[in-house]
Amino acid sequence: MGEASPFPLLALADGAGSAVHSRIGAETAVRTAVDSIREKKLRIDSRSRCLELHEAILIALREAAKELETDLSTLATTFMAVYALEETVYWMQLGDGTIIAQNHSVLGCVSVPCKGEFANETVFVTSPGASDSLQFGSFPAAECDGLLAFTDGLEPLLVYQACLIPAPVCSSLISQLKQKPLTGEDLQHLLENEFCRASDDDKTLGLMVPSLR
Amino acid sequence: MEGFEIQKHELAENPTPRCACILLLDVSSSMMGQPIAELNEGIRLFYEEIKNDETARYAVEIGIVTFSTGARVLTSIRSTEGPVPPTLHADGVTNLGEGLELALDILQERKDLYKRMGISYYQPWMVLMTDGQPTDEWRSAARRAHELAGQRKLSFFGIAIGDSADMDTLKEICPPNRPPVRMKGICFDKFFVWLSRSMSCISRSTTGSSVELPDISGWAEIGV
Repeated sequence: MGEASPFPLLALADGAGSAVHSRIGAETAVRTAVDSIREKKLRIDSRSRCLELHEAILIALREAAKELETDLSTLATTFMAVYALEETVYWMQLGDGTIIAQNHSVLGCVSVPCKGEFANETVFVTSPGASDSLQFGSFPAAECDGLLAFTDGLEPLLVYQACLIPAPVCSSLISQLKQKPLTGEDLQHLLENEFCRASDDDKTLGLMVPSLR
Repeated sequence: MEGFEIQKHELAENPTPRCACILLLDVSSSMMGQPIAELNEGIRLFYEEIKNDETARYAVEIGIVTFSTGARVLTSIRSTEGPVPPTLHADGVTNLGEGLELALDILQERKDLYKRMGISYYQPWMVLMTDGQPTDEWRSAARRAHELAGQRKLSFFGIAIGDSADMDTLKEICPPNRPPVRMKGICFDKFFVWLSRSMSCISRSTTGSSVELPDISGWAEIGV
């Protein structure tokens, strides 16, 4: 990652509600991504390298499934990662969730939620043909003054779904983070109180502003 | 230090995902008397149960198609707010095929509307209730229903009312993944309570979660 990265690695995974071991699946996906990107220096700067990370996650999940003597599908999870390296922000996403970037106070969706036809359907890392739904990309870090990544439980409040436009609250959160650090207590308060009416679903939020400029 | 604050007006307001449910009802002359009276009462109860459910009332949209000598849309697919559906009257023969075609058509129109308006939706349900056997051509409509059910785009439930219902034909009309069920007597009230609770489960479901429907033993003859 390097000391000069304006955006450190943010990896999120959201285990499927119907999968018995989805918590282990989500933790395994995040751990594998951190290890691959930070320790093994894998760059997610092309489709083939994103697929390499997907494969690394699948191998780790298969090992976990073997240890648990269970089927791979019981570890079903979505996955997304975003980080900056050498002045470029790289990101990838498999399944639901959204990544939002702010460029000079203008918000935009970097990734879009990967949904099926119906409200409660998505693709998981473990789904057959999941790689067909891979989203990835990059943009100059200098053009980004804030990033949000969140799981589908927050989509109803943070994105206007009909047009996929981020809600103003995304700017507000970025502005506040520039003024003061987001503590664990702050995050818990946001997720459990301010965002509680979004849905009954699990909610995960990652928020970053550039550390170096 | 003060914590993070957000203003309510800064949050997105998105429509609740919808769950369409079409009741496809046999109102042929054989339903005259107690069956049609019980069915009317069951539908009233269904609307009440949905209205009283905090989540389902915003999500569930009900449409009613009836069939006898012809088929008609008694109530287009809409929320339970607003007027209660008109009372059903029994008369005529059993044009089930025509009814099924019409129900599938209005369901497709509703899904197209959801898509145009950017409203997300759950897999729709269709509930066919009949006490007899079709008097018109039903196979092409059944093929449409099978195709949708096979693609997991429709949950189809066939319910036989009374002993005169032609279970063999109903089995052919219903998609293979969900064979028909015969109702115990004419306990429409228990069936519609089950249906409203099932709709509530669907409207609370989240991405990737499996939906476990309530037990049907209260209203269904098991093992049919």
